[in-house]
Amino acid sequence: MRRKNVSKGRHFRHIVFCMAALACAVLFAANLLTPDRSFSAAENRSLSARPSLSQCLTSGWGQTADRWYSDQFVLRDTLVKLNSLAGRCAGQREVNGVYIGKDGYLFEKPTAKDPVKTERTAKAIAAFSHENPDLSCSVILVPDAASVLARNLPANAPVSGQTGEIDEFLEQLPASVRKLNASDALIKASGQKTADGEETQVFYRTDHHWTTDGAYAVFQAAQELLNIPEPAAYSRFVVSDSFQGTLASQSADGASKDAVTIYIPDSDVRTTVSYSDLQTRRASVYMPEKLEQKDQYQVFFGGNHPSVEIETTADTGRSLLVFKDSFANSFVPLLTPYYDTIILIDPRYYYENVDAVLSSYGITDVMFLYSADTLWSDTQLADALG
Amino acid sequence: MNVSESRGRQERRKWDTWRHRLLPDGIFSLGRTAAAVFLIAVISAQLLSGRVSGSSWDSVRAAVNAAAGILSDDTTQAQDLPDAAVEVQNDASTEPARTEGDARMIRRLYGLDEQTYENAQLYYPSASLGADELFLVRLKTPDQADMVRQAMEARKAAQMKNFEGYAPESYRKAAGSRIEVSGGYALYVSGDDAERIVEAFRKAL
Amino acid sequence: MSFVSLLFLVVFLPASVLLARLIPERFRNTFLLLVSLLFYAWSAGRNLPVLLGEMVFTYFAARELQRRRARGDTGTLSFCLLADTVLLAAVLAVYKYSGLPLPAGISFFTFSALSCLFDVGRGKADAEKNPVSLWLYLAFFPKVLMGPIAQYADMLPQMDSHPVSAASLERGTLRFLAGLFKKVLLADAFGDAFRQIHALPQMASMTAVLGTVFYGLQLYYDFSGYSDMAIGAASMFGFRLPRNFDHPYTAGSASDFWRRWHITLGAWFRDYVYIPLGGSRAGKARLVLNLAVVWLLTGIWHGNTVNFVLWGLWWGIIVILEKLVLARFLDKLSGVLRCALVNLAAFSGWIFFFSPTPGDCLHWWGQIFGAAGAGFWNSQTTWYLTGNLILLAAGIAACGTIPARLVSRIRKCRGRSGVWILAGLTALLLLLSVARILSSTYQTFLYAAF
Repeated sequence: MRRKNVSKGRHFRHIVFCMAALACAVLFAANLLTPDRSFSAAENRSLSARPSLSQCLTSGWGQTADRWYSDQFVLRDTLVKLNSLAGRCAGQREVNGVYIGKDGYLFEKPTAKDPVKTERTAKAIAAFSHENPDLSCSVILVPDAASVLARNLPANAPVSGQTGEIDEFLEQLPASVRKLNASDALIKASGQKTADGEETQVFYRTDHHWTTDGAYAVFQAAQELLNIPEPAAYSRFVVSDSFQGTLASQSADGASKDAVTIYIPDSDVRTTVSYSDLQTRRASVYMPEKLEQKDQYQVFFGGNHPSVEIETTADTGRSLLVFKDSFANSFVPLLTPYYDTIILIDPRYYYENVDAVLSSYGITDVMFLYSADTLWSDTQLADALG
Repeated sequence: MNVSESRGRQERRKWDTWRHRLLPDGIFSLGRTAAAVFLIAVISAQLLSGRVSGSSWDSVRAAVNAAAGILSDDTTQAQDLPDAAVEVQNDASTEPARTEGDARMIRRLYGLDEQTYENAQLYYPSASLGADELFLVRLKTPDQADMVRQAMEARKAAQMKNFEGYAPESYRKAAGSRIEVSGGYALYVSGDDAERIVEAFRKAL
Repeated sequence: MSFVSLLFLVVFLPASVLLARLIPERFRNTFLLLVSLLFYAWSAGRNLPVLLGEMVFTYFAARELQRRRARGDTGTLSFCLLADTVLLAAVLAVYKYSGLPLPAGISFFTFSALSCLFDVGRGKADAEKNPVSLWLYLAFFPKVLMGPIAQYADMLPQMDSHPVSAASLERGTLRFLAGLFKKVLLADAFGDAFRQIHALPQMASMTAVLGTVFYGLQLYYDFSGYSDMAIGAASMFGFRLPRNFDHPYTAGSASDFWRRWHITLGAWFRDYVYIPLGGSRAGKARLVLNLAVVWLLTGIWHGNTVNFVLWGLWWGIIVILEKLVLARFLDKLSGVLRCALVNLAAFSGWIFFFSPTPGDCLHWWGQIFGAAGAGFWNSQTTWYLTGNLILLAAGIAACGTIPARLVSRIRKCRGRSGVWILAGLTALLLLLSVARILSSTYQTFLYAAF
């Protein structure tokens, strides 16, 4: 009996050794034979290339070689997804800064509100409004999905209550600035059903952005703010149902897919969009070719640019300047029937003089449209205004 | 044998023993001493290169600005101005080739966030195709040195690419630009007075 | 490169093992030395000169000591030994306290060098005439960075003859895999959980306790996993390295704990500091002094801030009290209670490790006693507990002998099925480990999408 156990022990060791040796051989060969990839769509970055001989002689070559081998490892994306899945099976509900919620929802971990930075930003907005009293300024802040869809959060997930934080921030702004906390509109909309009887989805499941349906709900709540007495009617189109956004990439989770919708105004307004950084002009605010790529949210304006100029045939005599982050990309297409010109400025990339823009375009309205997550740690809006 | 003689012999024996112990005799002793010296040298080299300068930001900045001919209130208070700097200061007819830049400019040209460093000052080219630039940073922690050096080298490469084939004078200045990272400070300077500024910088540390 | 990089696991280690088998025995040590130097240059290239310098220094110094001993020159011998020790200790001290980046593994290979010099100086072993063998002892890649501190006298006979049998190869692989699983699947996961808790501005009492537990388990599995990988890898080359961990969290007394945690360091201090100072044979007062010296040095060895000195004193006081006063009292307690007390001491001690300053220590202790005003248990505590429940259960179970007993129970299954089940499990764990290692290099650049 004891001899059988001893030989079983030996047998076990033998099998494990052979298995490990085989695994090494297979992985070594597989890595040798599969060609190197140059770009990873999942991580949105270029992958390290094989280090050249000259690189091997500089200091830090060890890390370079390690990084190259890891980046080019066979079945990399699949294995990362497997790790994420294993973590989920073990009960983990937070992966790489993303909360795995119920019903396929992914939530970005809320950004902490930096009191110093937000105070500076509030002061800058107040000063801007004070210096340009003839402009109609409005501020719309959008909370993160964790504040709106709290029922889909994983149990006990630590969140920071951005609705309250947004209210506190808006109180710091003067009365001359019109304010809107988008939380109420979004929460109300998320409880309603669409014409098809489905739940209105106000945030994407796999992306940190709001859906166009959510943007539309906030737009309806903002009509008074923006002084739009007669809103146009819109037609809703679904342009994609295979969207997997930033949160799916960040958490290496491939379960859910989102639908992307656009709202086209029924009125016959036409637009010409000019991108200064791309040096091109388009006849539409949408870039349909982006739907073929991974980040389908870029169908709106092709992503973020330092500045975008939209000229419309609306003929209302009003011009709008929008200071924004990426959330405004799906909101601004709703505004095209009400302004002759809309200028979008993203202060994270824009280095020119803002006052020059105000005078040269004859701006009548200014809007600050930000998501709280971005604004709570932003210093560049204040830099651009100040 | 009297007392003094025996004491003398004792002393000599003690001296012999200590000489025996301290001076290397035989190949092993020699090898051991050589290796010890080598280790001490390696450590000293590392200590010297990682040393953080004790000079204050104001004195370093004043010295560098003075050498660059940038007039400011602080310059007159700086000690030990190099003679060339005084000369440049007196030459009031020189049009400033460099304009002071702010945090946004630092981010735009170098991709660095001014807030993460102890102090930073930027003078970027006044002319549209000019290459005279001066960027001085005081690091908050030693491990920022690599990132700042990389940013400066990227700037140098970008400038050279910008000017190649368009402005030979500026290209020459950009190609001859100097990057100095030591003592907890980092300096990028481009222009005809680059050497002089680097000298002033080194002296001020 | 560390043991948990894919390049090491898939290319470096298997290739080294294979080539070492193919190369004739005469050149094997030289090959292993070159491979080890390559490994060191890979991880810490800039500091290779320090390792080389110490290697050369130790060789000549040891031979010099041998020569003095042969001549009977005890005065000069002691002086040389003292000078050598001072130099090596000074090199270590300069790196520790000057803020320069520490050369990887310097604490370990310096202690190996000192072990060589002490053993030769005291006549316990001969100075190795072949420089390659000595240098391989110092720089052998499984143990150079964090490996068990093998004493010179124990390794010396192995340097000349280290045959690789099928058994040593297979056992080595098994040991290596066990260490890999501990490090990657347990330690890294506990590390992530701890880091999340540590970053919280305020926490409830139980969250702080949970964080401390996570840290203690991370430290154990990280270090013991690494040691297992080192021992396993060395076994693949025919070397036997001493055991470094023996289920420390099941210890029944403080002294027992330190006979199970970082065993080789304790043995080093015992053999080269405690016993030469007189050990426990020179009276109670001397015993206390000796223990105090050893624990002070242990604290200093682990880190360069006051915290580590305090930690060393913490254990020193506990060990001294146990030896002198508490021994009889503790004997009356049940095994479980004793184990709990020892663990309480150990985990409290780790607070010194992860707090940068004594003030942070006090702050953490404050949070354990509710100073943050967040209560005893809140939703945050539930979050961190439920998110890591299986991990915690596995981590606690694996502290003792449960895994070993489980494995042997499955293995004893009728026929060969048990063995195949285990092999399948091992394959699954290996797959998960590779997946986890890859995930740690997964880095998304999504800023432009914000």
